[in-house]
Amino acid sequence: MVPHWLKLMADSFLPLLAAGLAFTVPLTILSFAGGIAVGFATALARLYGRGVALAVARFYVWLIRGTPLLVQLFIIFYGWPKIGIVLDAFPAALIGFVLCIGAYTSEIIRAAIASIPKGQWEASYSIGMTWGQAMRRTILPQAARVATPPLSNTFISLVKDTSLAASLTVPELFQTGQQIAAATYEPLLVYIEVAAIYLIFSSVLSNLQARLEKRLDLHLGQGAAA
Amino acid sequence: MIRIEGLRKSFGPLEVLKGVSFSIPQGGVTALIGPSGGGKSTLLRCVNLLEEPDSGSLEVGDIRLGFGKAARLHRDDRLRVRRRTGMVFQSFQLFPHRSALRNVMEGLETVLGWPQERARARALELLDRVGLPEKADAYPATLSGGQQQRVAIARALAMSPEVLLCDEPTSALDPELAAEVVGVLRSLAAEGMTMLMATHDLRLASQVARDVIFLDGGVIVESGPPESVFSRPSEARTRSFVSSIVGAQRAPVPA
Repeated sequence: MVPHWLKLMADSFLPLLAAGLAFTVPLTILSFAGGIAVGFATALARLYGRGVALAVARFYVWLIRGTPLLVQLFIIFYGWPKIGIVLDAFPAALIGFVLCIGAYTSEIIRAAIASIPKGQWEASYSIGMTWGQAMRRTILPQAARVATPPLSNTFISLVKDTSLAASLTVPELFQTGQQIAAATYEPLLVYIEVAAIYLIFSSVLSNLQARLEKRLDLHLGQGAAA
Repeated sequence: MIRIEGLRKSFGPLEVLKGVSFSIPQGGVTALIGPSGGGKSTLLRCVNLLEEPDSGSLEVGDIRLGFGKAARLHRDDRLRVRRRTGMVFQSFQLFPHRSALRNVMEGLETVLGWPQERARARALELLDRVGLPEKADAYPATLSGGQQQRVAIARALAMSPEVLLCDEPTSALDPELAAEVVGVLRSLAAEGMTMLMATHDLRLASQVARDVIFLDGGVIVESGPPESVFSRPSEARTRSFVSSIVGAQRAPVPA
């Protein structure tokens, strides 16, 4: 005879995993990709921009970093319809996460680019490279190595922060957990299971991060020392 | 061939170059000596436009540029001059994420758009010329300072520059490693490479250079062949500077 708690957890595992794979993982990956793009543009504006571009970039980072993510999500999903912008839950959550990740990663990317010695720019210029070639060929590959650990941190935080999308009615892992918990009156068991699935997702992702770092180390030659 | 006339450069209120003029013929090798802060590095950096001169003119091969408020430097001019000048830095500045071979290939592929195989063949030839054919696949972090500087020289040579600019190329190296680099530069000089090098290294100045320019306080105090500048300096400032570096480099080094 299978005990009640085990049967409950086994029955809810697949729906939870499916919600995770169908919503949590795509939301995480899309938010991060979009956030990196926004973050990179913002970093460039803050490093090299002037006037309006610089002011906009600074204002954006200040605004997003100074307000709670959950409040931002509520403004986008529940507030924007008041000014005629009606979005489905998933795109609303995606926009919120992209803006949030963009603001945080812009600082990481900015610091990583600024950390590459001026001599690397000069060496690139001295062989005739343009600014864009120097950035792409010399600076970014080195900055990527510097930025990988803090960006991975942000990424893993994001995996868990996507649970906030539950309050925008996105049927992701946590929301699905809430529904099962409500239907079965077993919040302890169900939420532990939800936590375990988040743990699996973030462990797999940390592992990928470690491998990526190792590869970047090899590119920098530190791993090649005899 | 390079020719510089009336070159001036200020950083804020500090005028670092106060009207410097000289020329180096095709195949000539000139050493810039003088105290730190005398303007040597700034002068070199003005020749490949890492710094933009405030006024004066610069000729590199068939490119002639004038500087001043009226003559805004165009991006294409800057790129053209840089493609015709090679720069060797005191701190090497190899690209740490690329192997020695890839460092040398970088300009050929990215700037000149050579196909990979052609760039690789040329880069191997250059690594051979600086005596490092076996280090092609090594990353900079695994090379000694002298080896890194030789790769940096190969990287600069890859672009077939009109003139090779060397900013204190041996200053970051201990004497033994510096000797490797002096050897490479000497053989380049013998092959007819035009060179302008800022240096405190007497060996480099006296064995490789055919002319020496003593730069102090942003002006050329004295110039001439190394024998005369080092042995019979006519200016008091040159005399005291030369005796200070000769003294320092001849002094026995305590173990």
